[in-house]
Amino acid sequence: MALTPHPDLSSQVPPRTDDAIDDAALERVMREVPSGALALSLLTVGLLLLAWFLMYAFVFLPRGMVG
Amino acid sequence: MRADTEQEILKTELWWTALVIAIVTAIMLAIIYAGVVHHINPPSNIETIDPKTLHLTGEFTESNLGTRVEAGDQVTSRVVATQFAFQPQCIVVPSNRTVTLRFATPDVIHGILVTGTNVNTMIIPGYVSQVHTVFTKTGDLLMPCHEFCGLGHSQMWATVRVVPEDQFRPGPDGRASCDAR
Ligand SMILES: [Cu+2]
Repeated sequence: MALTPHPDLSSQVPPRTDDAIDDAALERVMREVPSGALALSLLTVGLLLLAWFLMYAFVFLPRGMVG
Repeated sequence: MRADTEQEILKTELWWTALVIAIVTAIMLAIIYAGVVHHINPPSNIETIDPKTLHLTGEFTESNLGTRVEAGDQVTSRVVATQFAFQPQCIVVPSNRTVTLRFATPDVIHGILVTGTNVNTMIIPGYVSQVHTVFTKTGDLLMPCHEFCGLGHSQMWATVRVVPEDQFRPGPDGRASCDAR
């Protein structure tokens, strides 16, 4: 059986001459993203930390000495 | 990307790094505080025993298992963990008194925890596991095997009977068992 060569896809797509994303638009997006990610990170890490400290203070410490 | 946007992102990342370092430091300090002030430490006893002969000679022979009040009023309980039972099935200990629990196994790795307390240790063939603790609440506490040790693992559990100090009456030989009460 003869191997069928892969169609050369790049020959079917016209080469891009200009960047579809405007530099100014990219700049605006990049300015927004960190604050949203930061808010989400603070919320999730904060809740996790709160759960840890509640277990620590109200379960772990009252159970007392061991070693 | 513009240089000042990149600066902004770098600043955010450094800020987050500092926050994570602060969180890890706070958790480490909390663990050190529990260890130093409240004496809550991981069991760290290193003591070897021959698993092939532990039932024949020494402190883990059958007649020496269970709770015993030793020199200096020290309450010690010895338990052998085997597939798939604890020997003895029930140990009695007084509340509000330092109790030493000692475990050994002749077969595979087991582990125990006592529900509602910080008691938690592995039981490894060749070693004696030891935990000191003070039980503050009275009642029957469940002590299951918490390390998968074979098909009967889920059937493997014992009871820690914590009784008020004035109801803890060891016999003349210093021994106390669950049946005696
Ligand atoms: Cu087990």
